[in-house]
Amino acid sequence: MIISKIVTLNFIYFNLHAEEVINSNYIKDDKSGIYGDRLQISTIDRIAEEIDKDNFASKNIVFDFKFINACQPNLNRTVINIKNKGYKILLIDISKKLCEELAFDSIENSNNTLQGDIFTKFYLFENAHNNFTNIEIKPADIFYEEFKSTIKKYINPHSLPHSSSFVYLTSYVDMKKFMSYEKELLLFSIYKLAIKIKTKWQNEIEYGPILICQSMNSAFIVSILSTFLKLDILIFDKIGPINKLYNRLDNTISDKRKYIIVSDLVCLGTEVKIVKSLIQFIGGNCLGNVSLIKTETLKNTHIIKENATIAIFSIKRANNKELNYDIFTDLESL
Amino acid sequence: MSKLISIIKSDITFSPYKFYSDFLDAVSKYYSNESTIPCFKIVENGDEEIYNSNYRIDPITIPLLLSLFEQLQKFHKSPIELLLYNNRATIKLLDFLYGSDFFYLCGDNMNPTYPKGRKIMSFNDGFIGNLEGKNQRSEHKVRAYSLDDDNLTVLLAGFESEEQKRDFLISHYTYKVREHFEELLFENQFTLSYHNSYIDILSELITNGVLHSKSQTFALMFVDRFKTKFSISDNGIGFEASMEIKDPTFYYTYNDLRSILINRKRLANISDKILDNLYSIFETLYYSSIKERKGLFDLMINVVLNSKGYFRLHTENCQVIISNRMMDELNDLEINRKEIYELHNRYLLKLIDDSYYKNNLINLSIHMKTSFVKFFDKAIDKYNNDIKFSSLRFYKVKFRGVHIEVEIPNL
Repeated sequence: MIISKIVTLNFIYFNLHAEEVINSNYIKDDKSGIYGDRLQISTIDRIAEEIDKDNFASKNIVFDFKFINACQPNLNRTVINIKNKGYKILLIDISKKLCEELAFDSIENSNNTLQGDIFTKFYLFENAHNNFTNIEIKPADIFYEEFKSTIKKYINPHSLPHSSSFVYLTSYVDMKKFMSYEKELLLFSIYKLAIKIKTKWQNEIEYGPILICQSMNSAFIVSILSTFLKLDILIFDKIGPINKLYNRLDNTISDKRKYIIVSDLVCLGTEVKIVKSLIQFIGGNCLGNVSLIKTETLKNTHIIKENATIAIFSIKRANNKELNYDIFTDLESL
Repeated sequence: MSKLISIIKSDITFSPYKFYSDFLDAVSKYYSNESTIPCFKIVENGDEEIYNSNYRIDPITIPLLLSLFEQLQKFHKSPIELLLYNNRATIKLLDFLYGSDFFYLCGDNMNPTYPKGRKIMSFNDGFIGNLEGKNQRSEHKVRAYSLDDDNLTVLLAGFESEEQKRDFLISHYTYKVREHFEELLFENQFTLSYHNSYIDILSELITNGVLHSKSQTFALMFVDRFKTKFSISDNGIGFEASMEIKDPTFYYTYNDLRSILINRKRLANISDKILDNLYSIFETLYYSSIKERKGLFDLMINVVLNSKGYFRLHTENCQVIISNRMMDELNDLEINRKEIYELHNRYLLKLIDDSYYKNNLINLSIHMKTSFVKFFDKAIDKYNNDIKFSSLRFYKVKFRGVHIEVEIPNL
């Protein structure tokens, strides 16, 4: 399974660290989470197989080396074999040292861009006038577009009131269906979320905060996040959309631990607030909350940073029309 | 009752040197006089002289010990008996061995929390108790690897070329050693920043071991405040036999270097058979230095030149110790290697044509060969001048397989 493959009109994108994380944790059972920083031949072999199998229309490939600090010796031969099949390869975010170790530095291209010790762009071909060198590549944008076009398929019209907050929604995001049908993108999204959590709570992560989920969907997300981040989890039986608690809270929440609340989609954040209150009532420390998707109902300037949900995709003013998603009430507009 | 051979002598650190020189000698003497299965005493004085005895073991000797016992166990087709003593004099030693998982590994442990027992030795585990346990932080771990584990033999059969098999195994062992030695690899800021180099060392050497030995390969990692040590030991076919089966290429044929070395300066009092071991070590390093793939040679250069460490290679009766005392020769070799590796890569990238590649590679290989001959001559000269500080060591008793020790200072 290749999770990070994104096919665009002009190129095919692969995130090598994400693939390495899948290889090490799920195929090789190495249990190093997202903390591994070396790329192995078995990972790049899987990508090479995928490229062979799919026979893409585009012959341009982007390999994203972000978070990769070392490679298995002789890995360059697999990459060169892909190149020798007629593909034009661009490496992004690859360190100069790694480039030298892989002996790619004998290929010169005037479009290669070095910032400090990192090549933001390193072309594995010498023709500086090839069209591929003119294409702007931003991994965050590539992912955003891919996620937007995919999630669109799972947004359905909805006429009933929102179940936990007193508002109406024009549409309903069928997360369950998205999670069942789009496994690869889901895993890549959870990987991205794990990276965001690690970056946001760099210091706290060391002391092992607990990931909390409060619904069936988020239980699935949390189980993968816990593998990626090597953190413990706590499953709250059910807080929203249907609210029912089976466990006694003082048995499960410890006042000595810190907690991160995980959701699949945060619309107005009612459930998040309930969970946060429950944790704080027992004396636990709530670090914050994360979600795959969130809606940004406030302007950027009005959002209080501490309360903001960390998410890998936002439904916001710039895209809610395109996604056919709106929140409204029965009140008359003034 | 079998006759006893004691392993660790009082007041003498049981180091690899002592292992190769004294201990192997004692075992060999036993076999020339006795026909029964030997029994080993962990310490010389047992329960006697407990107030006057001190026992110390250099952790990197543990894989050698396991390797030897595995050979004996295979020979006798039964686990080798080991007598343990738990007293004032031995308690620290037992604690140390226990902490390294030595007893789990060589006994019959089936508890998955610890390494699987390889049934090499039999001992009374009642003696392993009441340990001091003061030092909960483990600073040394020993592990065994073989193609019988993890269904590897079947998985390897799926690959066509030798290279693919190697790459697969190195990948596999990278994940394994990261898990097995995790606490040591990420022990402190220093090991953290070098953990990728350490993983390279372990995975490459373990792969060499299991591929050639077809039996167990024992690996140990040890970290203290001053240095990080690795010891990897197998009892396989050794350098000589593995070089023999290499396919010849247009730039290398079997015995290329050896045929020259054989006519160079000789060492007095060392038999031809023992010198053969020395040639085979040089031949292997030479072969690795002109190949298109990175391997043992690159690892050695990295350890010695970049990390200022020691790289000790032992096979049968001979050991070569490579350190930065030979800086000039090694620098020369490294420069040649860089040129050769670049040439291979440029050819693979189709930046140069066939004839340019072939001609240049042949020339560079000859150049490399000359550098190796110089390196060899210098080592021989030094040995003849002062054996004690020489990089060459010759031992009376043959110890099968390849045994590599790497020592890197925490600078």
